[in-house]
Amino acid sequence: MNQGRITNRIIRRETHSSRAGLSVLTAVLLLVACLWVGTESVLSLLGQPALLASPGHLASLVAAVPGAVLPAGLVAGGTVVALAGAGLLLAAVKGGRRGRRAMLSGRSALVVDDETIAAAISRKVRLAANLAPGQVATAVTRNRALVHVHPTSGMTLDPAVLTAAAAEEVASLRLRKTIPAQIRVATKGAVGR
Amino acid sequence: MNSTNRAMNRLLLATAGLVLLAAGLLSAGAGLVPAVREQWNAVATGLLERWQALLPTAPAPEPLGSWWSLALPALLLLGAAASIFWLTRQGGGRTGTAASEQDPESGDTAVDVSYLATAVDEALKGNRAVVGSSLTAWRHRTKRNTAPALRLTLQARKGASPPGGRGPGGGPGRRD
Repeated sequence: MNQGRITNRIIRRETHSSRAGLSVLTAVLLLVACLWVGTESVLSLLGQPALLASPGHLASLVAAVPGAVLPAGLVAGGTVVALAGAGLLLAAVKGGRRGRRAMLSGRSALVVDDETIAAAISRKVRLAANLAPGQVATAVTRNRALVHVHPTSGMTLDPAVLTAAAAEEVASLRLRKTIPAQIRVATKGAVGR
Repeated sequence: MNSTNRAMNRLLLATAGLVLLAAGLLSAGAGLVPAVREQWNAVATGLLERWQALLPTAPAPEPLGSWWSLALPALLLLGAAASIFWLTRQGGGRTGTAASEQDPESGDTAVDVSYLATAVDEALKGNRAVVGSSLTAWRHRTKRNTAPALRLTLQARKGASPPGGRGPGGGPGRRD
């Protein structure tokens, strides 16, 4: 494997979820179910009394479910199980982004948290507009950075300056895939600082 | 950068999801459509009868009765073993040795990760943009005899610019 491919693989693994938590949960549930029914089947082979229900009893219960359970109960239970299954299926198919993105680097796989980017943009815009801490908040989403500016009451802000400051900060990050920065200036000002 | 087998995780999760989805839809369908209910009863009773008919085909000494009776516990044991295998494949690959060299004359040399971590800490002293750092080493899944990969995580001070002249910030990096 050459260096570029190793770097790409590491970046992919750092920025996407491994689904380990969900896998552990599913595997533990599967393990418990297998161990329980396995124990029951061994007990019934040895002619011992069952813990909760013997496999034969369980099988006839399952066969009789449509007659024994009210249709509404069947629909409700079935919906819950189907939703859980759909959730697992979605988790298996979806990307599972982790709120991080790759930066360009010649030597290593370099990844930065979205929160760090947001804080850096906020600070830059705040300094450019000469605002107090807390008047600028940034949210970095999948494909853009949204900067919310809360101006001081009675002071006009030049959106061009703010946009330039945010764009400069994003450009200086040298992200592998750059993101546009959008400025939203609130219409209501904060009382004098 | 641990050695979790992510493709396997997703494949098994998708399988479990499909099974649950099918079972759920079947139950909901049985609640809504009487025909599905009748079909369910017929198929389940048929399967139980076929199982009863299968038992005498491989008679075994008492108290077993039939070798087929062993199939269920064996199958469930297999399922339990598969679950344990799946559990053990999560994570792993972390190592405390950042580099090692074997020499027949001067002996083996190993560099502990904590040594490098202290060096990184020392180098970052006085850098106000970085609040903390952590360093871990991970073995490659594919390559056995190369140096492990290092995962360096730097915690940036709130608002510090990651690239800026004041030092890098936020997020793990790697060096070979």
